[in-house]
Amino acid sequence: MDIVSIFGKNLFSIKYPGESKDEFNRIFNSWQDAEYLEEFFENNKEDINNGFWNNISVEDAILETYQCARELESKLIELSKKSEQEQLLGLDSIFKLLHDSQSQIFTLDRSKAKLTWLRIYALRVDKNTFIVTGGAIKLTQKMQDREHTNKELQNLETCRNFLIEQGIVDVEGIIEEFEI
Amino acid sequence: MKTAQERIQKTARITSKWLEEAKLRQDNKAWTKQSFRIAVRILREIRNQKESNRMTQKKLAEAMEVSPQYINKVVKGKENLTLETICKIEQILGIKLIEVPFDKSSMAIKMTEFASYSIVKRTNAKLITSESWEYNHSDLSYATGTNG
Repeated sequence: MDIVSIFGKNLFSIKYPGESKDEFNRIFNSWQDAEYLEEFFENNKEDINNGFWNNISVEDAILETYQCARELESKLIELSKKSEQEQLLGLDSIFKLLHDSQSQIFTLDRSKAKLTWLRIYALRVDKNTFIVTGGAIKLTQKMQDREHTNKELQNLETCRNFLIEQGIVDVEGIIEEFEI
Repeated sequence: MKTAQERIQKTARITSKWLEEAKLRQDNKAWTKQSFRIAVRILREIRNQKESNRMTQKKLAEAMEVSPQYINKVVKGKENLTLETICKIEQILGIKLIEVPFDKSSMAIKMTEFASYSIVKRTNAKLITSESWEYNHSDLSYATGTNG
């Protein structure tokens, strides 16, 4: 497992063994890959046809995802051009705590960047550094509800352990969190 | 004593290719958006025809006499398609992928742009002639350029 820099001093991503791309790059590629999205929404048709997403068609779901991914990507490109301080403020406004009820910033928070059903999952270290562990199209209320989102929860834990084992973050002050 | 941020920076020796690739996507956003939409339409049609005539990406590639890798690039929405390719796909799948609208509003915008359209020889970018011609379509008449 490797840590790669995305831009600036505050945004990083995990690159898993055997993967050709780091997670940050992989998710933005997937969300703009028509073939990937068509298969994903075809396989998860029931989740977009249950009323919560207004019974959106597979075609519209694909186009919506593509549009949202582009908007988020443009926002992040703009952020990459700014000063370190502005980048940090920008990242703080994009990433929200994984548990919406939480208000306190912990040493190692699980955070998410949110845009409709798109999610980018990250660990926040020392309030100023985000390490992206993965991302998903979250169509259900709980991450545990679907295999692909549940896997992201596991990835967060794996990466958290990796950072501790490597001595990158201190064990002290780390708060264990669980999705309800 | 180093902070966690400094330790992470030290560990992260590689920079992601995301920014480079994202900027490229942004630079090409107009045509890639169209390419993406076309890809979605093709994929949905392949799926629709899967049961009726066992259509697959491979079968489409064979019918078009191109490699399956090329079709895979097309259906990912990352290929700058030519009109020839689009027409071939339309014929094989029996669908319409692009249409050129001839509505009044778009004509009105283009009229001034095309009023004195110049022909440029692209090889040396030298202006070789300047001309315009009239084209009648229903009740509309506008001038545009031509390169033959």
